[in-house]
Amino acid sequence: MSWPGLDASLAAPDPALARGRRRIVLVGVLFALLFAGLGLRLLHLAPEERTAEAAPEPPLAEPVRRRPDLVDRRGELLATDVPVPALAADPAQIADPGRTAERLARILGGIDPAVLERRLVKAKEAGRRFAWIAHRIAPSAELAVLEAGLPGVFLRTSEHRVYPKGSAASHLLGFVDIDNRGLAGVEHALDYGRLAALRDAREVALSIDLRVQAALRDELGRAFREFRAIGACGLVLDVRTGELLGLVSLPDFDPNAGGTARPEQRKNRCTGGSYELGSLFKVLSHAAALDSGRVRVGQRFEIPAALRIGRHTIRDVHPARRPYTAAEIFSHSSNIGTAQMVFAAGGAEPLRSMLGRLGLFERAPIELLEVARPQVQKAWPDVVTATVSFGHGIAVSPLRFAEAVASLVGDGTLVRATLLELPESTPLQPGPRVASRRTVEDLRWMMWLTVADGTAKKAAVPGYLVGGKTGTADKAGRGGYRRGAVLASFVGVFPLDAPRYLVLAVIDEPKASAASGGTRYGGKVAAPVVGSVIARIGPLLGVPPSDPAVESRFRERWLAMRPTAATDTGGPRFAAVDARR
Amino acid sequence: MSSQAAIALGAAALFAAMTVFELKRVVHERERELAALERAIAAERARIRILRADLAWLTRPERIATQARQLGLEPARIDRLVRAEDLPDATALLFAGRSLVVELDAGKLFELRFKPFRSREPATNRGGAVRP
Repeated sequence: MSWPGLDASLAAPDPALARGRRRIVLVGVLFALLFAGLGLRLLHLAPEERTAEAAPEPPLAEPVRRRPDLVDRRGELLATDVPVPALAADPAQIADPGRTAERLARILGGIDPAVLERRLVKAKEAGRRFAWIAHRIAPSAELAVLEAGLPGVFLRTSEHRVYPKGSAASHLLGFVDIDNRGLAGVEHALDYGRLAALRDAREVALSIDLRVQAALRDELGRAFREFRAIGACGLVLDVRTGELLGLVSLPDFDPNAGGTARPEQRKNRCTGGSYELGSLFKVLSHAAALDSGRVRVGQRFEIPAALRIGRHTIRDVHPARRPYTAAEIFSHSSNIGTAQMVFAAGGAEPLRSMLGRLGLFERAPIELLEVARPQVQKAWPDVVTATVSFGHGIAVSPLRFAEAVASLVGDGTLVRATLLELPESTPLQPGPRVASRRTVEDLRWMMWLTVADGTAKKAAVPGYLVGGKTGTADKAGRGGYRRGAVLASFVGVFPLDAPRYLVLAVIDEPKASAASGGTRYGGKVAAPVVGSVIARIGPLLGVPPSDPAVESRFRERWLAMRPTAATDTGGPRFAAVDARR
Repeated sequence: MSSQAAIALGAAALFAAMTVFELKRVVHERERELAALERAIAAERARIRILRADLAWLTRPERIATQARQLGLEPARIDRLVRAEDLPDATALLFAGRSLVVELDAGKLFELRFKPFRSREPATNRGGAVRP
């Protein structure tokens, strides 16, 4: 290597010079490295700045937490969150709240600029860095807001809860407030109740079957309108697992606009209301009497025209004109007979014990928060025992009652209703036994008799063995029972050869109409509802037609027990059953 | 140290710098792509959620009921429900889809499939009634 500039003046190489040159080169290289390092550092910094130029995230935490989707047992979507554009503000960055409010009001429409201005000013004074302007804006407004370029105003994506099935399951699902917090039903329970553990799940599968729910709502709604009732409750319960397949309370509401629902619409009459269910309760009192072992199904009881207990007199709507067997007391729904049966079984003790075992003195442990406490008398003198035996002087929620009946006609073990789908793999764990197998068999048979040849003929469904019990309860008012206000109800179970589903319909204050033959009896108002529901949901749920052999067995048992023609004075006519079948 | 070595060193440093720069650029490119993809995925997910809600809305019970009426459909009746074993060709149905492996004379294994057997007599239970 040669350095011409230096070589020209110095002919002879000088070792000192050579050393100097080497040093210069060394320094040169060092500087080159230094500059290269600086250059690298520059390059290193440059792209870093580019990422930083992305829109600065406003100092806001995600204000709306996503909720789990709610689906029915078949995966039908019942509630979900959809992303919607929303408008928020950082009040600290808004220099002129008045102008901002005015411009936003012009873009969004339907907003009072003065109100918005006040809100922004207040938030600014409070030092808050976040304020909602609109939780939901139209996609077209989104662009307009962007174009307006207002400082301190941010577009955000918010979650908006939608209930695509509309009012189909309003009381079950409940609804949410503007901040996506649950205010009723499952939504409420997800935030504050027993379902809180599932709050962050992606999806919550409910026990209900939308097809069953829709059929139930349809049929119950028809009766609700036909009889101009003030309310109605219907539910379908899986007797084996306690899963609720449907729960309808009328009047209902659209959860998409839950906030606008009136209180009577919001009330969940199936769980949140306690009712004196009247004769429906005979299912329980008869179970108590039979389970005591002191009363048999075929045992005959004299039925006086009126039963006096202390100062009280009990009467029957349809007075019996001959002694009734226990089964007939049930199928003809005799109050006097039921009270006598319960007394024959030992009075208050067996009845109380049965109701206690069935959990009727406690709140139903369903996942919802809207659960009414049963209203029960403290002391049980004879008159209370008698009235409770036919469903007065004790008020429970229809759901609680349905659980009790399911426990008794299922297999005699306690059933607890649930709104969550039980995975098929979970083995069923039977609850504690509440009634003997024999009581269960007797009860099923008496319920069959009620439909085949009793007060509930209108609940019969060709193809299925249906059993049930009607109820027509006088409603209590101020200072006694109200004249003309009744609760018409029917609890049905099918197929009776191997009970699988329970259907309950309660219609509050029906007005007599032509469809019920001018009456308001449970057998005329509620039984047809249950019959239609069973006819619709049975095939949907894949319930096979009942075994005719079981029906013949039931019928033979009845033929062996029914009164002979000589003692029959206008009571049941069994020929009618044969004719219809 | 010779000046050649110094220049080589400088060149190497320069090359390393350029490589690092290029790598950095590629990584940034990839990051941008990733972010774009993630945004697209999020947008697509949001669309799917809206579409699911739409689908659920379009299959709401009242709408289905109205359409079913227009199409003349009616709820399934229990007397249309028949147990498989009560069907006349129940046995044929039972074996439909199953197969039987046979060994041919030549020593080969051959799979014989059962075909649903079609009854030669005319079907008498068109209306859904169960033949005893």
